[in-house]
Amino acid sequence: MLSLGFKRASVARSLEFTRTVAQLTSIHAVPSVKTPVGRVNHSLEASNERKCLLTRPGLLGIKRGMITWFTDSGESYAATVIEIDACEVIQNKTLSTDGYWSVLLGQVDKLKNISENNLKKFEQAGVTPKHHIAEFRIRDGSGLIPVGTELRADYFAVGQQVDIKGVTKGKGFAGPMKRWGFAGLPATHGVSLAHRSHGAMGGNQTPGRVLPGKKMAGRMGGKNCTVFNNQVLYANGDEGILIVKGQIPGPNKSFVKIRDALKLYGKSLLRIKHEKEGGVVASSS
Amino acid sequence: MFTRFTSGLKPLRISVQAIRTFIPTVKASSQTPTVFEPLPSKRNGQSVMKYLHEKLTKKYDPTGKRTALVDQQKGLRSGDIIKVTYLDRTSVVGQIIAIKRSVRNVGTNILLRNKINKLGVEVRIPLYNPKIRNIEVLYKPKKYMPRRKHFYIRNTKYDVGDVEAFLSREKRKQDS
Repeated sequence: MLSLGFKRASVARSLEFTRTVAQLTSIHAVPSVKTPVGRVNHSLEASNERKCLLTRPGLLGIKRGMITWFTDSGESYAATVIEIDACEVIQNKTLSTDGYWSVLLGQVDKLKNISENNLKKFEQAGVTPKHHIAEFRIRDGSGLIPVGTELRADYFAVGQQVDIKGVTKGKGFAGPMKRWGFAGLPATHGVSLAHRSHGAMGGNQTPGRVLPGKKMAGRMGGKNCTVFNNQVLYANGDEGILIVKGQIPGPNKSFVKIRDALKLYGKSLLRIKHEKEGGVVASSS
Repeated sequence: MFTRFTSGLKPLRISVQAIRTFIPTVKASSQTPTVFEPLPSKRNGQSVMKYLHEKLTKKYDPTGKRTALVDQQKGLRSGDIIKVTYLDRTSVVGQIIAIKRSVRNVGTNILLRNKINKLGVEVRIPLYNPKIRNIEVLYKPKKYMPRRKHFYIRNTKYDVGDVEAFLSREKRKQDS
C-alpha cells in the first residue's frame, strides 16, 4: 500500500522537492487469515463419496442356458440358469492401501498354464488358481469378506433383484438397420442397391463434416452390457445353481458378474451423509 | 407377484465349513509356489442343465406320464384330439396342430385348435404346468394329415370344425 502526497507550497515555492507523506506498508505487517483449501471434485476421495455403491460384493458365474420356469400358481417365465462354480475371495482392497474398498473374486478352478507370478498370488490367498478374476467395489470396509471364503449361490435370496453384467454376443460388422434399428431405404421408387443403407448423414456446408458419434455401420456386439433388476427365482448353494428371471447378455458358457440391484440397494456415501443430516436428496432409483 | 426386498438383504453367513481346509497338491519348495487342491465338485460333476432338467422333470412329472405323451414314436401327434383338465376342474378340448418339444427343458407345449361359434380358437398348453390335473386322449384319426405341424390347415377346407360336435357325431356312429 503506497500513498504518495505532495505538500504544496502555498506561499513560496521552493525548488526543492520534498516528500512528506510516503508510506510503504510491508506485506508481512498485514494480518493474514488462513482460508480453508477448496474442495477438489476431481479427486479420489470426492469420487469415492459420490459413487453409488453396494455394501457387499456380488458373485461370479457362468451362463449355462435358458429354461422355462413354473411358479406354484402355474405362471411360466423364461429364466436363465447361471452356474456358480468355486467362486472364492482372492483379495481385499482397502482404502488405506489402494484408495478404495473392493473385493477381488475368482471363479472356475484352473490348474494348468498359469504364470508363476499369478500362482504366487493364489498361493497367498490360499485358493486354487482361477480361470476368471473380477473385482467388486464396495462402499466401506464392513463388506469385506475374509480371503479364501467360498461364496455360494444362496448368497442371493430368492425374490430379490440382481444386476447381471456380461459381454454381449459379437455380431461382426453390422449395417445401420441391425446395429441402430434404422428403417432403411424404400424397396422401390428408384432405390438401387441401397435398401438397407442409412440415409443422410447431416448437413452440407454447415457443419461441413460428419459429426462425431454419428450412427453408422460397424462392429456390433462384444461389448459390456448390464441388465438391471432381474429377479432371483432359485438359488441353491450346494448345487451351485442360480436361476434368474429373464435374459442376460452373452452366449452360453460365458462369464458373468452378478450383484445386488444397484438401483434398489445401492447408495453413495454422500447420500447417506445427507440423509443423516435430514436434507432432501433426489431419489436415485 | 413377488415382494421386493427393498429394506434388507439376506445377511451373509460365513460358517466355519465355508472356509475350507487346504491340502497342497504340489510340495512347496523354495522355487515352486504351492497349488491348492480344487474344491469338491458339485452335483457329482454332472452338468448344470442336465442336473436341473432331471430335477424339474422329477418335480413336475414324477410318473413319467407327461413325457411319454410327447414321445416321438408312441406319443401324441398332430391331428389327435385331447382334453386337458386343470386342478380347478376346468377343461379345454381341442385338436393338436403342433407339439413344440424343448430340449433339456420343461418348456414343451402343445398347440390346440378348436372352433367356438365358428371362430377359430387356439390355446398353447404347457405340458408340465403344475396346474394341469390330467391330459386325456379323446380321438386318434385313422389317417393323419401330412407334416408334423399343421399350421397350414388354418382357414382352409382341412381346418378343424367344432371338436365337441365332431366327437359326439363319432360316438353316435360307433353306437349305431
